[in-house]
Amino acid sequence: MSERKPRIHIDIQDGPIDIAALCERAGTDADGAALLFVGRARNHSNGKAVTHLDYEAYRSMAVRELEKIAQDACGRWDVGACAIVHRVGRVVIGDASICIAVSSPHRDDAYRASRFIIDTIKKTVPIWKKEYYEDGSMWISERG
Amino acid sequence: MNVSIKTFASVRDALGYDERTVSVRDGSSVAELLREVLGGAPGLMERAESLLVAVNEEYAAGDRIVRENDVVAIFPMVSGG
Repeated sequence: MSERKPRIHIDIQDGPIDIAALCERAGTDADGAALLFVGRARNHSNGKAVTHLDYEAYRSMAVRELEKIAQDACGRWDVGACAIVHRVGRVVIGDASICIAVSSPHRDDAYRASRFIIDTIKKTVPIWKKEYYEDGSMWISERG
Repeated sequence: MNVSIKTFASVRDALGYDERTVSVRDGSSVAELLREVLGGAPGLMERAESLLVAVNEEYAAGDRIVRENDVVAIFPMVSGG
């Protein structure tokens, strides 16, 4: 494990994510691998056409939880930089709802850390997705 | 004592407010507070087991004792990403 202090950037924002800017945050000179995960708004869900999404966050707690996850990932794997940005509000189909950029000296750490981060976000970060359809809407957590 | 309640997503929709100060007896647990807060909302009490609670922005179990001026957030399973 590296002695260096990883660079962590967390944000929850309204409006589109600047993916290019996020990529620039990932990747120190010691990192040979930089990996970007983009979660996008999909036009279908459980057989229904989705028109758009709306995300709500308990913003202050969500930032804390995202920071914990980033710190945890950096402790488990050799990560040089980690940037996580989640959108709130209306997200149109095809737009990014979340971007995770991770860099590490070798690719295996970046892949593992990125997977861990998105999987943990879906379990612990207080953000909720509402799907909108032609004939209504549904909070996704209600599906059980 | 007074406790601040915050609600989110489907819990807010069911209760009809996103923030409120409630008065509860000293020494109340999170579970007791939930019964008090959710009692008036049809359907929510039945779902209480599936709801999550955070006290001062940290997840809390039902036996956690709440204190004066704590901020208690009640919300459904998260679904970000």
